[in-house]
Amino acid sequence: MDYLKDEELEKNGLIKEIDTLSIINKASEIKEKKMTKLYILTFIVLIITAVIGQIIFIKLFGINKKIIIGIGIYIIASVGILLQFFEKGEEYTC
Amino acid sequence: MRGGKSLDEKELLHKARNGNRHCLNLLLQNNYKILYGFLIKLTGDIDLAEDLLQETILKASMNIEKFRGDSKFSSYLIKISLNIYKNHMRKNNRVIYDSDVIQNISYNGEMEMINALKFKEALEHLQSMPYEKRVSFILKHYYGYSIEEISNIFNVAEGTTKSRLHNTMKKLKKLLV
Repeated sequence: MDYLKDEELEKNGLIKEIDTLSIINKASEIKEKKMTKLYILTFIVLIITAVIGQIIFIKLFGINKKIIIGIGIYIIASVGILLQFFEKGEEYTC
Repeated sequence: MRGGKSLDEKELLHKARNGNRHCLNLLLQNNYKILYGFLIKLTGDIDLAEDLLQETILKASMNIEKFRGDSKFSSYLIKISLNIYKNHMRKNNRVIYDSDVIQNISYNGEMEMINALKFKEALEHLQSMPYEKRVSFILKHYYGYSIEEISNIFNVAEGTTKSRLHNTMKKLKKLLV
């Protein structure tokens, strides 16, 4: 059974060199595509809830300065949170 | 090859989990040959082993954040590859064994040809074993995994792994006599 040891497999050329970095890059591309879809979906939900929220508030309390400021804060905070996901950086050395 | 996880692996893993591709690449470079050898022994098919290896690396790279580092990185890769292999077998619903595997080895003299035949024979013996017994035997015999580590991979009691290994050794001894 020692004929199947990794050293023997390597000696016989059965264990080849693999470009792992290109596979990692492919994995990153797939992940990025998935994340982009998720961001778009999140952004759509954000816009819809903001619009519905505005309509409800305006119907309940009418248009006043406080509500406009509140909606503004909500949109800025939501966009800020979204941007944090995009800005997640990467180290280039190891 | 054996022993506890080195600090280097932990550091690399930490950086890889934080999105550092180069550290992940180093981790994979340090471990993929173990996985490659394991898959060749598991499948008995060089081409299938390479396909499974590439798929395993892809999945491991995509899910590296989920790996908590409570086992060796090679164990993590082996676990993923076993799932991929099982799915592959389910889809194909048959045991694939490449009887021409020997043709992939170049041999010049008589001695090398004998070695190649013995290699093929050893591979055939492995393929004749049931899946769990085969994996347990490969991990224990070729990679020095402990009973505990093998049991964790299969989520079974240590007694089950011991019994599997004992039966496999008994069968192999009979075959090799």
